[in-house]
Amino acid sequence: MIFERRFLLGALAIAIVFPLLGWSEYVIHVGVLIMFSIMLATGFNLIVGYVGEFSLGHTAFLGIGAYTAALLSSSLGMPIFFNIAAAAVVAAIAGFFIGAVTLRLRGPFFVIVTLCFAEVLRIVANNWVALTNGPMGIAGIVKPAWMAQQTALQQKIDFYYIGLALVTVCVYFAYRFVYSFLGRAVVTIRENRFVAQSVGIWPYSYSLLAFVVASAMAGVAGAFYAHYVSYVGPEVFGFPFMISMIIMVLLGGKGTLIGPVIGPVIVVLLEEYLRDFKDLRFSIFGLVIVAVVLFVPQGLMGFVAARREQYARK
Amino acid sequence: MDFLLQLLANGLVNGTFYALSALGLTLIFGLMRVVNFAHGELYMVGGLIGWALTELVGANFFLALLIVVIATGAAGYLIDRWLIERVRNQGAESGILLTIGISIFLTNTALLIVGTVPHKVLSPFANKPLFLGPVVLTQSRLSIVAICAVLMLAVHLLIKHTTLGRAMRATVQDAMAASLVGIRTERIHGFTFALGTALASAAGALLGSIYVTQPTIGGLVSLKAFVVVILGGLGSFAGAIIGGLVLGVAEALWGGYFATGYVDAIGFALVIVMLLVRPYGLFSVKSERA
Amino acid sequence: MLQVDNITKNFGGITAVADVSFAINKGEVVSLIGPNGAGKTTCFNLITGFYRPTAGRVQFEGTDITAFDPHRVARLGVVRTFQKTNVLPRLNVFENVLAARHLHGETSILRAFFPGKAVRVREKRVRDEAADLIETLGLLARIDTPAESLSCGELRLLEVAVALSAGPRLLMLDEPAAGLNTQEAERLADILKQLVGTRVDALLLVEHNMSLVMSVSHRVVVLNFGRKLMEGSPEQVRNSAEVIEAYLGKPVE
Repeated sequence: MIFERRFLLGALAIAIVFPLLGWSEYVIHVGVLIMFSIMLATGFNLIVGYVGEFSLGHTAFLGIGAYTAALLSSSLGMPIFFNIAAAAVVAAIAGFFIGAVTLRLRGPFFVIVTLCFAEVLRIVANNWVALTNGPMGIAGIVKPAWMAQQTALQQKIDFYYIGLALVTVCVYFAYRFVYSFLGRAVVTIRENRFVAQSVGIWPYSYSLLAFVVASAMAGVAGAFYAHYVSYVGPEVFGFPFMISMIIMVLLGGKGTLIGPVIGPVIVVLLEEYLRDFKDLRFSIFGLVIVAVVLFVPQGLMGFVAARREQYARK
Repeated sequence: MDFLLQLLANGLVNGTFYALSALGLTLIFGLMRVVNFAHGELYMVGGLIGWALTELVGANFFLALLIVVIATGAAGYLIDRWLIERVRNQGAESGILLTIGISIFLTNTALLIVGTVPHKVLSPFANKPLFLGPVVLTQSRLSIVAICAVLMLAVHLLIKHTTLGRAMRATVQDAMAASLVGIRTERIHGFTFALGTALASAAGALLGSIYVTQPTIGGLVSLKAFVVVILGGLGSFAGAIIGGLVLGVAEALWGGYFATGYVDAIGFALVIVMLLVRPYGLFSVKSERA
Repeated sequence: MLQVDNITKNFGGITAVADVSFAINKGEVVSLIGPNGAGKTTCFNLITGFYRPTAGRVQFEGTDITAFDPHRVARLGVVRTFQKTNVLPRLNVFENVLAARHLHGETSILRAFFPGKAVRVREKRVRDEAADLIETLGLLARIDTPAESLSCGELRLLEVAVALSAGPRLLMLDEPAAGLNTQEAERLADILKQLVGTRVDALLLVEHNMSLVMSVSHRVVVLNFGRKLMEGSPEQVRNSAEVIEAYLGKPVE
């Protein structure tokens, strides 16, 4: 707990200073991608790492958040921060309903049905042309007004700091979730569902709460993404985003708060580095997943940062 | 009325195909408790090997099918012994992740080798229409349906009536007890995975003569197979067949009478609705034990 | 306090529990005994909501809890342990006992995200209570040890501690002495005797260790093949020909 808090605060300090070092536009862009990924991974980790159920449909909420922001911006001209907040709320509501259905299931059933939900949404986004503009997607989401006069580099730096602020909020909520009675309850459910029930914990309600919080975070990430790339298409519901989330959380260490911060840094950098290998990089990604499962199943941070409690003796 | 009959016939034909393409998945789950996310990619590999053998090498369709079954079966055995073996008894999640990793690797490696162009397996069956009363079907589809039925029957007999099949069923019941009576459970797991793999690829090679195969098709095949086995009950052999037929007919009717754009969503919608009614599938026996 | 009326449970065609009735009064220790497969654990599952009875009724202090979910049963003050694992193996002793204190800690979601002084005070109280309970059961030396590294005797004590931590009024223990040697079992018996009237109002035991059963129970209910064979004081049960027959078979004439 203390270690995690110190690590996260240290990482925050570094992240605040980072853009001041005179980096190129490209480096800041990578930084923005990392911020986006941390939001997504932190939320996803609440489900995979703490509730202990494996969702393959978390892109549903990424997509819902992205489309919410895109529609609010393009058709109503709403400002970015309002859109991000709205995306969080809409994704949380969707998370509540989807979670309420899927969390009645466990194990492989939960895995497959969450995937089904994301697929249905992708198909709807592809076909409901009147709302989503179909496969064309929604383009030209306007940048915030204050950025109009800025250089491309300065715009990226602004997005970086917006991303960092959102990451801070997400990680704060995740931290509070994990180190409160909520985290204690979901870990009990994860470790032994029957014992949890026998001591009065209702697994469904706490799992659902974690699911809703995680959905809201994915929604925020989606809205941030939509504004940053100023385009949203049905592929935000697609499986590739899901795969990145999985690798990030697993490599970093599920069930820790640091894992979903470190994982995205490594994966985004690796992805950029492997860009030279073009198509081969995805093949390598597949092998990386296999290697992680076989050799570091706890992830890089799994051993140092799992949720632990001790009694402070006087 | 004739239109309805035609839709039903199309649905049943497609449904048989769905059933066959889901069989390997349900088998591996039922006998190994592994959800194989690389299932669709194994189907794709079967289709591509089938295409390479019949189109590039000029091999006979049935010989190609046999080679596909043997080659992918052997590969499946090795995947199990080298990879899945290591995460056995570590819960469902490790197996899922491992197979996701394999699926990503297979898709992208296939893309590197054959590119994005769709390919078709050459079959000896003509695309000639056959008129059965008011219903029109092609000769090739009917032939493939017949081969599907033979394959399913063969697998059923293998599992129910051979020593190997009995060993497979004993191993899933209680691996410890099975090893105590002298069954080499790790080999049996390998053979089970090999059988599931071979079935997936055989489906890919067979259906590759009707539909096109391309490296990226695996995800869709996996998804449809998931729908089929969830509808029928994960791990149930009969369930996969019923689930396949239900999905085929439902899609045909929806596509015939309503919008075609949403056809792919029908299966998912069915799954979601069914879960609200009967959470563990139509044919699954879920014990109530705590 | 607990009233079980004619509960029956069928699994498919098999009847695991048929028409079993018994009651537990405040201050009592009642044991449920019977040969393997007699339906003792099934009774536990039926009372605590893990199974739904096919027929019959379960009441706790006048409330019908037959159709309650397990967590609601626990909330009313009926807490049970499990025969297999009743702990969170990867967590340490303190975390185990603390997790089970769930019902007595903070419950506001809003305050979980925006904690203040009140939350810290309550959290400290819960932690002290957990540590206090660990001390009572003599596990203080092992407070930071993961449950999976405990010895069998310690594990049984931790199981009792976890259940007690939930603050039950009726505590139901499923084979708490399984795997214990005579000495350890005697120590457990001492602890159990002290519990009733101090930490819990009543105790229901499923146990195979007869000397433990005889030394702590006020009443014993005997099950055989899912039916209630008899009910009585430990003395009566010990001397019953029926019970001896159920366990050992008919004497050869």
